[in-house]
Amino acid sequence: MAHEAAHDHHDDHHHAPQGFFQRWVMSTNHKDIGTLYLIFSLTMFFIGGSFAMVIRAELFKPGLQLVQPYFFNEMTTMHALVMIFGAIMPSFVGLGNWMIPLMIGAPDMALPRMNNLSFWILPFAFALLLSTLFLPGGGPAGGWTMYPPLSLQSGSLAYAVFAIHLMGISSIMGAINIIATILNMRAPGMDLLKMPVFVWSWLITAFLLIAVMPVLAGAVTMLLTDKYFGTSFFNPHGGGDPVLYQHVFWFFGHPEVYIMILPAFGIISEIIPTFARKPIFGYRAMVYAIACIAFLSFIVWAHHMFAVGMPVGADIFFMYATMLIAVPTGVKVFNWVATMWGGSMTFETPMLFAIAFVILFTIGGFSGLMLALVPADFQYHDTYFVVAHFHYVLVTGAAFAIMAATYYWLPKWTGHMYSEFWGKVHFWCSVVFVNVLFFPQHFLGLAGMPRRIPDYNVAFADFNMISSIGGFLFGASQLIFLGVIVHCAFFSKKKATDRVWEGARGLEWTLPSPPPHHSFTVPPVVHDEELAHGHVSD
Amino acid sequence: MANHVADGQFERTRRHGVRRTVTVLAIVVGAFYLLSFAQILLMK
Ligand code: HEM
Ligand SMILES: [Cu+2]
Repeated sequence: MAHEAAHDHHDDHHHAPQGFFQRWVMSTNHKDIGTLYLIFSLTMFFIGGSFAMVIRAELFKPGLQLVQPYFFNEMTTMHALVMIFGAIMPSFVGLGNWMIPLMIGAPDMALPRMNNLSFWILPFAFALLLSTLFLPGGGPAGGWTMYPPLSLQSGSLAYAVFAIHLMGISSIMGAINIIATILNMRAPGMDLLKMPVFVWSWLITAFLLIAVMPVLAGAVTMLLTDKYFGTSFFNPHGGGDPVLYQHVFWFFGHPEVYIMILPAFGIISEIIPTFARKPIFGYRAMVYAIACIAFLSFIVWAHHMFAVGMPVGADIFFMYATMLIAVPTGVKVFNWVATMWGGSMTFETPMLFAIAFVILFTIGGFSGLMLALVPADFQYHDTYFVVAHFHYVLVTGAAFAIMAATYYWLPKWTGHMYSEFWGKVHFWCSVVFVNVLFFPQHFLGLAGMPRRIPDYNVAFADFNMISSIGGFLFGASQLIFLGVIVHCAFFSKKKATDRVWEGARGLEWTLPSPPPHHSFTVPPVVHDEELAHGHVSD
Repeated sequence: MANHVADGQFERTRRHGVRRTVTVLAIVVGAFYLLSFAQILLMK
């Protein structure tokens, strides 16, 4: 029994090493490194969030009020880079670090020292990136997509490029570690098709990372050589082509957006069965759908570039390929709903976030389908409609899933229950204000308001003011999130049980809460009825 | 399975597997980086 293996093995590696430096800086323990990743990403979430507050404050009214246009552009650029590479991606790596070994019955990640390096690269990368805001000449301001020739004007391009190289190396090492762990460290009896969907989603995401991070590295290095070494990859005067950059960037960029959503799919597929008290509907279909989406994500990149003017055949290919993604995505949404159907549901905070995810992510999927229509995109491209689309998929999608995961596993990590009342307050504030923030941006975009501008026509004033008010309140609501986490980790008196949630299944719930510093040092022998999925015949 | 666990066989195959996976992935990543940077070397 998994239970006995965990409990019987109380040997001397049981405790964390003494000393702050030893434990956190030199850590090779997947739980401690997972915690580091999560703290880092939460910090970045608030730094990136403060940039968003600057953006929404400036856009509160038409006209230039608070900041200089260049600083505004630095804010939009840095907000995106920090949120994508600093908040969303590292938080998924943190969740993977904590949960994958526990879910598959492994003692740790396959490569614990590399794990330490993957993490500790990140603070340096972001210190480098953020330091550009204080340099003479300022930080990168050409948008997170860094299109030339605009991005080449930034004096701190080299800093940004080096920071991106570091983030890429960190992600690739993390991905190798995760693949090696999942393929080789599973406890006996944990067959691939018995793994939790979260583990599957990370396995597939890790392959995406390996495939596309080198492409990003190549693209930004070409920017660097164009600026400093006299090459002309993207410069027509030397025979280059700026559109080439867009192709290379989006060959990375579209799989990148799926890197930010596939682990979220995995999380939602863990949470809904727990609180519906039913096994997931169509386990295999869920796994195949993730693989299918991952494959398709490589053949749709030019839907970001319809407006540059491509051959009609290319437009049509990328339009239909993009729409095809709606099929496996629809399978997933259907299966989440079918899992809830007829279940005995309860609505604790993780479940509330998961249900909000299903509804609001789907809105983002629909606006994506609208953008995939070539003639419609000619109109919508580079407007606030795109901004609304990607915030629905990334905030109410990826970020809500991360919040759901935090509430779901926090009792397991800390050994204490969080405050359900304040969790629910955080949920209801977030779900109301996020819609006040982003829904009006659809209308602004359809009416023609361009993205990435500090000033706008008075015709757009009302919706911008509503959006800004939603933004400030959504931002403030996240302080409740911080409060709930700090309270749970340090002050909560309410002990968590091993299983925490009545309907929870899977190896991670057979361990004590919090799990011992070293768990599954002897591989558990896995029984199907302990598993979240294996015993389901579908 | 229980026997493998007891005699350390499982631990050995596991270490072997990790080594093999990491070697393959390292080669793949190396190749991808090379491909991405080859453009820079060839096209400049
Ligand atoms: C049904 C699925 C989806 C479809 C059909 C779709 C379609 C599109 C299209 C056509 C664009 C380009 C719009 C333009 O610039 O004119 C776009 C932009 C974008 N999408 Fe999606 N999308 C989908 C899902 C997602 C998901 C799941 C994510 C991330 C989690 C995502 C993130 C983004 C981002 C970040 C951009 C804007 C990039 C930028 O220009 O800065 N999308 N999407
Ligand atoms: Cu895309």
